Amino acid sequence: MNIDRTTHNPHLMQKKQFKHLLLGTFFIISVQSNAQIFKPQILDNPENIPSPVFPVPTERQMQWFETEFYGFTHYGPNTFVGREWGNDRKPDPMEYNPASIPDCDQWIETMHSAGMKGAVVVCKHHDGFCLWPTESTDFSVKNGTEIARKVNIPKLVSEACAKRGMKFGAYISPWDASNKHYATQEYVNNVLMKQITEICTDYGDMFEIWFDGANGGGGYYGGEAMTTRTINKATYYDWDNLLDSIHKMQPNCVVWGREYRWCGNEDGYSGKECWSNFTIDEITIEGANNKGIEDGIFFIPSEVDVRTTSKWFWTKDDEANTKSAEQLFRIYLESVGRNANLIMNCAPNTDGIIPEPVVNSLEGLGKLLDKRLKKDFAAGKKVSATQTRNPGNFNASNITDGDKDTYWATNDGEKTASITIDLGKTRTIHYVMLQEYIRLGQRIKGFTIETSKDNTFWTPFATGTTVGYKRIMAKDDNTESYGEGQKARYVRINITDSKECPLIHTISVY
Amino acid sequence: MKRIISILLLSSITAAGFAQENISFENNDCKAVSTYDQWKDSPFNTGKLEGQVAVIDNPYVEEQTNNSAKVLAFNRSRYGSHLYGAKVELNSPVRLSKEPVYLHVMVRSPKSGKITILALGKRHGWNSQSNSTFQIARTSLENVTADKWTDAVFKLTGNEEAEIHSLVLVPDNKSMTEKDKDYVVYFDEIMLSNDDTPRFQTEGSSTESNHEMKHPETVSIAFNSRMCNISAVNGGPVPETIPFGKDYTFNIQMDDDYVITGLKIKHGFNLSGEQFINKRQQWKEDTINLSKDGKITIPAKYIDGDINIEVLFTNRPR
Repeated sequence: MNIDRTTHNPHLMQKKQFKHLLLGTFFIISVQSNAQIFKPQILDNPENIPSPVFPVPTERQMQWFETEFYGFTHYGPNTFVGREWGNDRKPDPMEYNPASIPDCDQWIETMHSAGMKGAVVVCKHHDGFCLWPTESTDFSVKNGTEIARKVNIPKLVSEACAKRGMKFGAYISPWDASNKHYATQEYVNNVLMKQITEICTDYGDMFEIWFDGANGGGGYYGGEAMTTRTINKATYYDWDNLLDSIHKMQPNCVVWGREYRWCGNEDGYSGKECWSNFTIDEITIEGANNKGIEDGIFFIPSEVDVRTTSKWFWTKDDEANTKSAEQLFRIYLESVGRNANLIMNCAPNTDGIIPEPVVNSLEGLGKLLDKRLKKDFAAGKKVSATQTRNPGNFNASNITDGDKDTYWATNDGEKTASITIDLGKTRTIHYVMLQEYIRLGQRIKGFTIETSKDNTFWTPFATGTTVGYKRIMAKDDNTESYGEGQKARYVRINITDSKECPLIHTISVY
Repeated sequence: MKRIISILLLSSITAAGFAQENISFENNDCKAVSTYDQWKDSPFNTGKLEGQVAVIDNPYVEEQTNNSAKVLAFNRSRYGSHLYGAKVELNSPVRLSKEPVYLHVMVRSPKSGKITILALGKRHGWNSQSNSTFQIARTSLENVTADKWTDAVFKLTGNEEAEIHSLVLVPDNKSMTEKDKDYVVYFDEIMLSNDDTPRFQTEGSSTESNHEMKHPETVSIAFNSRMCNISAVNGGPVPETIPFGKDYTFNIQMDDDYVITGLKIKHGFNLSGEQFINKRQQWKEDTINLSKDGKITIPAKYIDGDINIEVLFTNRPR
């Protein structure tokens, strides 16, 4: 969280008697009655803008949320030895043994074909091997094989992203099982911070930096045998000061653990009820990650991380476990469609490319997204609502105008309402997507969706709880298959509960 | 007009020892007071409004609970965010520690509920860094009773290189702040201690304790699962709620490189809050040791409230 400005101008009025005592540079004001201490303040609101329901996202977080779906790459020494964490072997830079420079263009092109808008690349995993020529440690490509010495993964990936107009992000494991200083402040000050500074300085603009919550445990830590080192995840890394440093270098980059959170599982789903509100303590407790905390005082939305196979790093036999395009589409519905962003792992193999089965599934996913969630039947169509905020520009027509900065709202205190969209003709409906205007806070707690062919007889479609940035509802909220859909001309959304007047900027029907 | 209190050195608090120095607003024992809003677009940050805070004569000086001469008065404006409060700049920075210390603040508010503090400061040795960088946020262990002095207690821990230079006292962190009117909140006698016991009990005080609660029919269940797949017995997704007081069975399948060693089960109420509030236990943490994954049953004795389950594992031997 950025801290911006403070105010320094307290104001006193309406005292019957006061006494000033000047000693050096201070004042004491004596009030001898219960007369009003402070003056009344009025702030005009000529546009009748609803008051925020806190917490609210920063601009940086809004840009992150609007990225929605992006890739993850796990590639490094583990790829060549067939391990996931790599903490249980003595560090050897020669283990990273590519036969050629990895084809990061192919990685990014594959992600692009899936509909992803960015890529987050693993620069250092728990084994501690750095995939760029860092000054912070000898355990890096600088001291690797002849080919490895020519590799700079963040450079290759950031350049590939820039070519395609995709966003670039980086993963740096805070836990370092090879570094002798790990578990001391020497590691934080002179290793981790140095690595973060290099990544944040040398490779262009970043949209996200990822700090894995897996921490501590067994490792060689610069020695000759495995030992165990543990740290207090909540305090050891001094995240808030690290965040401040990162933002000075990368003002548009969201930082893991303070500006977004892990969803709590690696299976690819967010909670059907999912609040972006959260607390900092819960980041390390990790009990409420999937659902969020309705009364959480910080805006720390959820990110779903998932594997396209069954592992983070590639192995040949794991190619058989590649998820199908339909499975990946379901994951999309259960993450992006449940108020969370989705980061999907695409692990390159020892040849430095994403293997064909994964490429095929990701291309298939891109086609499914295009086919099933692109043509919006509701765009530009007529909308009516049972309540509309007045005065001001909050008409129901804002919901289908294609502009995310206009929204429908009710009056203060009106927490329920119904919105009806006339699609103009009968359609087969598979999904209804709702988006709150979350710049003023997440509000909706309950809703139902019904459809009708004649605007008289209504058929239930789905029931839900939270909406947030985006909620995609399938029939009966069942994501298992595309199904037959439901024929209707009219779609009615009934908001049954909200923290305050609901604000919706878009409803789409697919 | 800014009210500045002249500097009196406040002893630094370290993990090895501490001094129970108060900020009592009587004797120049803090550097300055002002207002602060964490919300970037607050009218108090954009210049549309000026924050209002002052050291004044104690309007409740006749009451025995707090008869000090001076208190800090803060105008809780309807236009501030849920993290808008009175900022007290310390005479000297206080270093945090991974061992907890407890901040006590006397509060008198017309509203009941929790109080939050934000600690602002910087990392020791980072000389170019602003000393108003956010460090930690804590919500009081106690609920404040309306219109009575309450000793609000906050547990402070942090990185030992982090310094606190100011405290922001936030009287109301509810997401929808009071819209109809402003109100005045009083603060006094800020103290650091290694004891979390309130300095006095407030009549009518309440905490979120489950002792008098009738148990619910269902409780929430959440998993913290890395390097494994969790599913219901039928292979489908696990539910978000399960019946209170009954065994619960589910499947865990570890990834190839890992073996399960157990489950850490946090169970009870207010799982996101402190374990003890006023010495009343809100939740417990138990560990079940496991040697293999597959179908796992959580005994009913652990399903005595909401549950968070963390899967414990280690590397599979090579």
